[in-house]
Amino acid sequence: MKLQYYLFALLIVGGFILGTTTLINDLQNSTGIPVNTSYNATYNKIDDVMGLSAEATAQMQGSEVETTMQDALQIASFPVLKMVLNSFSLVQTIMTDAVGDMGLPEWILSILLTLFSIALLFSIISAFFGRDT
Amino acid sequence: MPINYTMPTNVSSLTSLGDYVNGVTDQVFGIGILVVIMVLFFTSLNRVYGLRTSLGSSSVLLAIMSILWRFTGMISDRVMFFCIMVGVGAILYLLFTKE
Repeated sequence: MKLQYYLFALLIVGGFILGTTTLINDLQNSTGIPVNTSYNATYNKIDDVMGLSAEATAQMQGSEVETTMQDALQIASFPVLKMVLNSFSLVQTIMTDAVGDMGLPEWILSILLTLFSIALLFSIISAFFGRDT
Repeated sequence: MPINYTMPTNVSSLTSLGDYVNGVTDQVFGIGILVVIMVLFFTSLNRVYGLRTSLGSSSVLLAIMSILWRFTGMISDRVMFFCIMVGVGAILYLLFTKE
């Protein structure tokens, strides 16, 4: 897989996760519906991602240069990087919370996390060493 | 003679429809109706556009709708996060496999 395509894929997955996160956070705040306490870690992480998103937006808006996409990523690079890492660890947090909520044994969680990590590793390897087709 | 149910004031989306059916059937069949709608959506797209298009469209729609369903009180957090993970999984599958 070409590196360009890999970055494009990351953008799509990240955008989807960020979109769903925003929707959950928005609805949770506007409706005030209580959440399941088993998923506290997930909801805390969602709050973190939204805080980082707000921070990145504030930094981009505070800049005086004419902001293009590349400028924006440089100006707000730190919150954006944290946001990307948080988005990926959000999947792991959801898995951890869900396994705890359903009362499944720990080894299932280990298998799930191992599979997810292997998939992530293989996708990164394919971006640099895969066939350019 | 069947009971005369009051008509919904706002059936503007799948969420409102499921909410209405839930109210009519005492919190039982709302989610069932929504699942049937999703299956019909998947099947019709599959017949016209093929598996990959239908898989992508319906799983993303399912993930987004599940958030709305959860905050209208039809499903639990567990089901919502499961649907979101299905959406993420489908996107990853489509991106990292060849047509």
